[in-house]
Amino acid sequence: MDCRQAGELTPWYVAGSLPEGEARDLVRHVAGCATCQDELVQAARLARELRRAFAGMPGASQGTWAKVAARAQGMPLARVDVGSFLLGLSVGLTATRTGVPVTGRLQILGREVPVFEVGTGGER
Amino acid sequence: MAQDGELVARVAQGDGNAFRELYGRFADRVFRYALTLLRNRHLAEEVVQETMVAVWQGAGSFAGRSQVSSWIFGIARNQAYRLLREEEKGERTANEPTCAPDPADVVEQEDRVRDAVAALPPGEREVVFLAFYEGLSYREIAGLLGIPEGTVKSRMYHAKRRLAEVLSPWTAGRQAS
Repeated sequence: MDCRQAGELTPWYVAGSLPEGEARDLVRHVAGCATCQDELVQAARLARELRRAFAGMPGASQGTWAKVAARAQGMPLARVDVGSFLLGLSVGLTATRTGVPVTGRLQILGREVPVFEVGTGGER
Repeated sequence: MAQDGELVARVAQGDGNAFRELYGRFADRVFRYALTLLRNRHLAEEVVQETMVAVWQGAGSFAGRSQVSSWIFGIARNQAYRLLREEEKGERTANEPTCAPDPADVVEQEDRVRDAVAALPPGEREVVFLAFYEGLSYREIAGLLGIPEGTVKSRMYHAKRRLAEVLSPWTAGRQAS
């Protein structure tokens, strides 16, 4: 391996994705090359700065999930469970083509029984 | 915690809770990828929406031959360039946001590293993001972008040189302080 090849592989090594065989060859070259040792230190520093910079970028806005769920249809937007496996009640908001109905389900021994649904034009 | 592949399999069965969890794992990552590609916050939000709806609809077609992240970023990439083409052709409706510089860029400019990345050519910017933030190998990136591995390595090589030129004095200063 020469310095040019080592320079191509160094970023992938510090990113942690270089295949084992190539990583071994790179380390062998770097161990005997002061120039590539400096290059490796610089690349590791750059990798750390880049990861920090990307992680500090903004994320998707809070409202995006509701839009995705509404378009996917039938997706639960929110769900609250009270009680236990033996006896409990779930109240959920679900996005559908016609709106955002609220549904309630009684859980008895792990089986769910619909008890009410409002917001779809027809109440149960 | 379920693996990404298990979640996709559950999504394919129509499991909304699995989809919610998958969304939680990928929405911000897809947004940051789209923002890196497009440098437009409004379009990046749309990319997240389009991508995750496509994931919901297409989970059954995921064969598991690649990582879930590669599959999802592949969808995001296609959506990003589709939206960009529509934007450039003026096919999008008048009340859609334009491609003008986004206020998010102002925030980005406060950080020298993100500024330096933003100044890279688009192909290099994308490789740097996928390698250092997503941890994808050059083989995975080559597969995702549909380009030779040598091209991916070359883009990274040049990106690293450009970034080092811009950032070396600053990072060296930070190191010393």
